[in-house]
Amino acid sequence: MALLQIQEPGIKPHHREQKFAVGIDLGTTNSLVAAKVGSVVETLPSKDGDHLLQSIVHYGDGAVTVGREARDFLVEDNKNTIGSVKRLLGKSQAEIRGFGYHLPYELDSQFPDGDPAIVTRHGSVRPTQVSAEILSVLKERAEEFSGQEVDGAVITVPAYFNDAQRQQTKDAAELAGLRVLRLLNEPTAAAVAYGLDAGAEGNVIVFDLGGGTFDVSLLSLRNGVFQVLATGGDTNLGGDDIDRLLMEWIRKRTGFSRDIDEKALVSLNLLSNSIKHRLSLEENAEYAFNNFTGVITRHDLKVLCKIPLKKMVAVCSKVLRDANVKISDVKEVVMVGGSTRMPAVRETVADFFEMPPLVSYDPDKVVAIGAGIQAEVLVGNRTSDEGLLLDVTPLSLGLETMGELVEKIIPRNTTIPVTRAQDFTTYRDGQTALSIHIVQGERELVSDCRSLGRFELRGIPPMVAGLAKVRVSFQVDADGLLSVSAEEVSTGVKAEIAVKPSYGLQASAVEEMLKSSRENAVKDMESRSLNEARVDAERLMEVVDAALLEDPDLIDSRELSVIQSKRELLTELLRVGSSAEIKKVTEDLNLASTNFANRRMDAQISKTLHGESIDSVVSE
Amino acid sequence: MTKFPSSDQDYFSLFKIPNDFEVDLAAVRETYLSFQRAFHPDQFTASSESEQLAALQSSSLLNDAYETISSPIKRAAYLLGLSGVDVEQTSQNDLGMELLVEQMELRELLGALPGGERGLEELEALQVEVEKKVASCQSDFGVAFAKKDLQLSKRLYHKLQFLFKLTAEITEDEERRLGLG
Repeated sequence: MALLQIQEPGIKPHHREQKFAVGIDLGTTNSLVAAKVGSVVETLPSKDGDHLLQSIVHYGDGAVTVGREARDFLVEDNKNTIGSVKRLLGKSQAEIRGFGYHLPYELDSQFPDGDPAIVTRHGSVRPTQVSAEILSVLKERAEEFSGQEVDGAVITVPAYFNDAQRQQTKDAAELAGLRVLRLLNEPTAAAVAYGLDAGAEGNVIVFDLGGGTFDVSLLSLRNGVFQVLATGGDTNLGGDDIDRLLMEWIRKRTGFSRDIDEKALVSLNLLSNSIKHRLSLEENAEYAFNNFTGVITRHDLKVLCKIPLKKMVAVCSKVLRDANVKISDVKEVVMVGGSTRMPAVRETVADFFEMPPLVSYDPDKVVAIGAGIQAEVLVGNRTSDEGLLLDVTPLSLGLETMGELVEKIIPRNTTIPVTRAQDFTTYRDGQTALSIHIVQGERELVSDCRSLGRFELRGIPPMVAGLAKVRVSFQVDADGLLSVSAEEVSTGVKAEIAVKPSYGLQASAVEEMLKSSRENAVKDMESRSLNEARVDAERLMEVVDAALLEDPDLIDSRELSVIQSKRELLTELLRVGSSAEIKKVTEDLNLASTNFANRRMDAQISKTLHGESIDSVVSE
Repeated sequence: MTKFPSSDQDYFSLFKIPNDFEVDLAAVRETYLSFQRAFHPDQFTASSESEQLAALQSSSLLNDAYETISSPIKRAAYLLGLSGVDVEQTSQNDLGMELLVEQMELRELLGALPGGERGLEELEALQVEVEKKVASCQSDFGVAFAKKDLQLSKRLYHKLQFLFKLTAEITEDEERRLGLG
């Protein structure tokens, strides 16, 4: 193909220093690669002329095949044929098993650390390896097309991908031998392609509904700057879900029972998918399955999709509110992703935003093209005066503090790159290590957020509780990837990690957590208040115990018995009491020990006055 | 070698504006964007590792500075900090009884609204009222700070803090009523 590119006279032939960069849209259903061809960035076709590569991988007797050839094995060799692998990226085995729908292939339950892997005739393969197969095919396609090696790639990810999902996407690209110039959010990529083309200014909504993920981003486009104002979405909502609703609808009408055999299930899936596509072109679609024929209308499908459509509207509404932008301030709505071809989706979007969405761009290609344009900038072939991208973090990042509470360090929708630090202290006398647990999500309790990693800062010099100052710094780079470091400020003891996914918690999907965060705000407040009360109570009990041990001679028996009875009551309440009860008895215990505490203070002061240094008193 | 902005200077010097509460946000935004164009990591993908790190740090600094200056509450706290007032160290006396009573009354109003969608209209009316209070409190802060009355500025800052917290709660309440997740 490269031979067919005719050079215009007078234009320099391909510059030696011009690097070859590609943009890759690694999609749930289809993947694409785009690069500069002549003077414009376009998606590149396969030898057969297909631009879309189906994101399906077949582990055959000999070779691994990807795309349309792999799709042919979906029915006859379903155990070795993997589709929609993007849904598995960054997830734990437990999360995948909790998806709530049937996977045609088997997960390797013996795989170490709860990491997911799929059993194939090539052995157990990780989602990153499967994704790497897809990326390798696209890399080869680009290299054959241009006759040049790929110098670097921009890979797109849903804006709503969490840190684990981003990290694994990057790992997959590296596994495929690609140098990752940048992970770029899909809606941002679409906005780049649209904005540069139309020279648009103003607030633009990118509504991206793919096979498996849903993203909405609100961007401000001005003077070549693409700034994301807010983003929202659902990493488990897409065209696949509509297929499944349709499958269930047809199954019921064709008399199959719920435990339909696997081959029939796969055929039913393919049928549903083709009906969905037909209904984007026609008002009615006839179907035949299991000796049953029927007709379904566009309207039937819209009714069937009521819940997913409602979810989409709620996300749009939330994004506008987060950015404090009114519908009347939105200038354009750009539709991205194959599922936006559905008339039901277009109508819903038009009703909500009170304007027809822009559908003039090929919704399948626009993300890859935007990524290709940005790859040209990042590899150094064009200056970024033409386009500066300022993106945001989709989900809040924080740390576990006492009582299993989350302290948010970087709130969602913060412009990246960003560095934020927060100081923490030790809470026990002589404590020499501090465990740091990083979480992502909007909820108040650690167990409701996604655990991203844990590490420990050791070697803190022993000091009185509250004296050490541990500064924990979070850094999110332009790829949206997090690294965390911790330092004890007075001594300079340091520890840091690049965050890699940890599957310690069996939490459900992050976006579900986000959704439930508001519903549960009240419950969270209660449990937060209970946790805080418990932490305060435990802390006081520790202090009192230590004091009784150190200075038993400074307390009289009457005081001691009051303190002991309050302490016993508090121990009991810690198990069964409400936050109000715990707070009350904590206060009682505090009052009961006030005189004792004052006497200890006096004793220490007099000790100091008798020649001991303040240091030795304080560090006791 | 690119000369990156120093992290030693305060955010106002960084954007070359005076240490005032009143700022021309449009002008600050232009400065911010021109700096981001120059120092964003995207400009340094082919540079040395140390330059890439400097770009990451500069771009983060610019984002933080811009966020601080464009948010009235963060800007107020930052200005007080530059003047040596620690807003974290606050006693009951700094706040004043009048402020506490006013805030309690506002919160009671919020708590007493009818539940569900029925209360939406009143909630919106309350929101408008609180927004007016925010605007007048901001302008009072600007005047007090310009006169270097730090004690009053600090009290107004805390008032602003209460009002913003209340605004956030009203928004959350509204979203709950609308069923937005």
